[in-house]
Amino acid sequence: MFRFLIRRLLFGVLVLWLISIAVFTLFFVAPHDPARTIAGRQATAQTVALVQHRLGLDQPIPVQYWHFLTRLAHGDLGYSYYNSEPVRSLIFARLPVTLSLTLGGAVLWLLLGVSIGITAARHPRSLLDRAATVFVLGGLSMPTFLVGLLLLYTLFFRLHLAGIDAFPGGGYVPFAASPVQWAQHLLLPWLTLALVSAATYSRLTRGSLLEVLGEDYVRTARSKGISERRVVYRHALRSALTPVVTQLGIDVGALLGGAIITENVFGLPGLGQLAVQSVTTQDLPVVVGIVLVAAFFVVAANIVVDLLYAVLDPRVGRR
Amino acid sequence: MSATLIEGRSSLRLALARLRRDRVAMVSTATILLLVVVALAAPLIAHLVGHDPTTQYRATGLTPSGLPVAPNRHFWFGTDNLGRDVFIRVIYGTRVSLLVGVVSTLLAVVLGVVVGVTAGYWQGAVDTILARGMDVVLSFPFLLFAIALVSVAGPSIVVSVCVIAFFSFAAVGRIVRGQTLSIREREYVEAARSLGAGDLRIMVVDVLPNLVAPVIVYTTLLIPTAIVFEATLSFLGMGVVPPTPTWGNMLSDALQYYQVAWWFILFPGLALLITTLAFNLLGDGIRDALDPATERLFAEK
Amino acid sequence: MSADVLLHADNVVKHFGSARRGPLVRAVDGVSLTVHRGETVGLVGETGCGKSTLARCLTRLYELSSGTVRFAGRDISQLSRRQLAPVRRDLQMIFQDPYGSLNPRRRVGSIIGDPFAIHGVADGPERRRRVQDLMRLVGLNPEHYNRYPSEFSGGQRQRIGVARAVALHPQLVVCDEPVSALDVSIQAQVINLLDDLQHELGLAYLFISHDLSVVRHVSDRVAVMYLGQVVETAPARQLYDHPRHPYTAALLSAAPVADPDLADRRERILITGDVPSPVAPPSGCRFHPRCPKAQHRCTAEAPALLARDPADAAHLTACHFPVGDLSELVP
Repeated sequence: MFRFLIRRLLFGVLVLWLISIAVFTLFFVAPHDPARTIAGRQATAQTVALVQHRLGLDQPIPVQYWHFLTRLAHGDLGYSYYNSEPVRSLIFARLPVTLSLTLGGAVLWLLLGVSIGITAARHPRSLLDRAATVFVLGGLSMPTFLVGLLLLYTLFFRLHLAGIDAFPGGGYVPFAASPVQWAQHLLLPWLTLALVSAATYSRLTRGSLLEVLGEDYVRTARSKGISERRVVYRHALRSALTPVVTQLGIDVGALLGGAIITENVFGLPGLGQLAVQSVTTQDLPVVVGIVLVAAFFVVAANIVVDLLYAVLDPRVGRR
Repeated sequence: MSATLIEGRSSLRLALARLRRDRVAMVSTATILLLVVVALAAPLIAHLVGHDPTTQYRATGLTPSGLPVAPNRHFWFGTDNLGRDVFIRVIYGTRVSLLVGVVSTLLAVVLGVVVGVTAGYWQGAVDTILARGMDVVLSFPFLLFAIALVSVAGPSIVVSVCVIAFFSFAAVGRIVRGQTLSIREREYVEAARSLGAGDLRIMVVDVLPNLVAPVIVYTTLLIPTAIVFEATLSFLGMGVVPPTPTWGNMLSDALQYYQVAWWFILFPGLALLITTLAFNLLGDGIRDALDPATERLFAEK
Repeated sequence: MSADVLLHADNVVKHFGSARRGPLVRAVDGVSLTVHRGETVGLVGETGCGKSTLARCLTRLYELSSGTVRFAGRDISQLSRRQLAPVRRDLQMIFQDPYGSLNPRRRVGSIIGDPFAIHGVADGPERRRRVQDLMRLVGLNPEHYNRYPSEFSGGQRQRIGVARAVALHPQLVVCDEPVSALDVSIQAQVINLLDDLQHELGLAYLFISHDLSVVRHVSDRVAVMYLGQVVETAPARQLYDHPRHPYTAALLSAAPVADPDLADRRERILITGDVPSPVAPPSGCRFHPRCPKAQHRCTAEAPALLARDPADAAHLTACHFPVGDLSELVP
């Protein structure tokens, strides 16, 4: 088990390192001259050279990469071209927003997806099941941003016209300032994130639960007279949920993608919005910084999920 | 000797017959064909209607106060904030979506099959590297990395295709690898080896034909993902840029103007939804036709 | 070694697993075997005795752990894949599973034509003609050239497998349980086909099966395998009439006999226990835990495969106390 953990960690470090190389190459290969971009279009060749030197851009590549790595190890992500702020502080300022969004969204989509899946599995072929199937089909076909737009239009705009202001259309209120408002402003974004993924998870849960419910040990439990409810919740659910957990591990990356879209639709000042803005302004250090931070989180999350899986299924750890 | 050779009906042909009997799949196919026709005939349609996608019809297309015009006789889907004909733009958007969707999917499938078969067949170190590599690519936040790539290469249709292909191939590769792993244990592969067949021959002649079925299913299901991916990129301004119309960037405008123009959301959104729905249903139908044992997503009564 | 010897396996060993990961599975543990031109050697044994593994070692589908295999005078144990290619024209294999050994997505004509394609022997219409000739040879309708395996019965599929194996007129065909998966009535047809082909094409067979009666019918000589080793080899008639190894005797007594009177008169020799695992075979003679004649020497010293009766050089037995009379074994 311990060896498994070490191997997993080493692999994670390897992946991060490879990503750092890929990212650095991207940055270095950028056709735009970073020095010129900072110095401004009117700068003279001398100014540009000066900027180049100050940023260390005139040094050979391996040296630059080494500097890059060492700075990274110290947590220094460079400075934004756009507003000369350290990238790190920019990212950390926006992290709470993205975290609130993704964690809340993930919780919501799990709850929704699993409960719909359970309901559908318990009443196969009923009207509920068919409705769930339509829901799934819709979710699989709808892009996240479209869902966001539709929610904005219906739950925000039309309700607003009707005088109901329950669902704000955007903006962010920190949790510390007002928990209620924090949740209220995040409601539509959470729903947006959740609805699309809930579809996948409900189908997964339904399929998995149906399979488990057909197994012999469940039939035994039923024949012992245990209520259907208990059969489902206490006996069948545990094994049925394993594929869901696996899927969750895979979906951590997708979660981030969804966050980017949602932040842009609802104007939430999170990392996703920052990323898109930075691309528009060609603020490469920020983009690099976000990518690295995201990669770190994804790798860490994957390791955690793997560990959880190893705990749940002892066969995995015994390699 | 008699020249009449009795043609065997391959399982693929049987599957095709099953597919033809599936109404939902047939409707989806018809829809997709319609979309293809529309995409190809876009210039013709524009000519017939008399509007083109990029011209700003300020006189007829904007209200006196400069706001977009709602759907009417002249502009069936209304106009956008610059007075352009939304109907024609949606039609032209079909071209981009289908082109990017299909091309990037084909690229992804080819790459995925090559990598998957190589990994599954050769196993050992090659397999470990490739399989792990695919796992890593799969776990990336696609959109973020796509954005990073676009930040370097600049948004364009070619970049979109490459980015989408790169992030889709791993899914195909994983499945293909799994299939290859099981196929290579079959006795007919052993038999081929005992006949003296080389690895390459076995991969092409024995393994690939058995992959056709799942690959077809996956391709059909991957296309709508690619289309959505492109739409998302364009929505964020990272994909195809204006003035070329694509459903994604039209919906991006919708974000700003939906309060005054609901048709901004409705028509491109509907087009996107219908397209992805059609491909998804068709893919589901194909999967069912090839292997009736799998449970349908949208089971008929 | 006479020029007559086609295949000679010398102390072939095949282990699975690696010492690091735990105990090895000793599937084949020192097998020596000879097949002469034109003869049929039967190889019998129960499931798990290593016969299929041996077959694959002899045809180099598996790599040998140690030992040598000589085919047509040449040592093929270490040859590379490219060097093996010409050998494969003369050394072929027929597989057990009529459903698994043919690629379901390929047409039958293409499957049978494989040897021609792989070895560059014939192409296009010429290949087609030869494949159709082969189909006729094995009793299939050449008009079914374009059909898929799923459209044929089990027996017909085995014929396809046979056609594929004899396409290039090999010298030796290793048949790994070729009829075990077929119904009894079909078995006879396929066996007769193999017999006809042997006469027509001058083939030698290594016929592997767990079915004693089938092996008796087709073989010139028979070898009996137990737990990865050959325990007895003799001309067929000899083996069946006068088995020397207790295991062979027990196997034969357990084989069903059609005539009920004969069956009643026969003494049943019972062996106790199950076949031990090939991971940890018993010490000395591997059969000793189940042998009714086992003595102390049997637990300590593994018997060599030798001719125990000087009058009968062709009958080899690996037993310290070979059976003279069957009544010795009945309690």
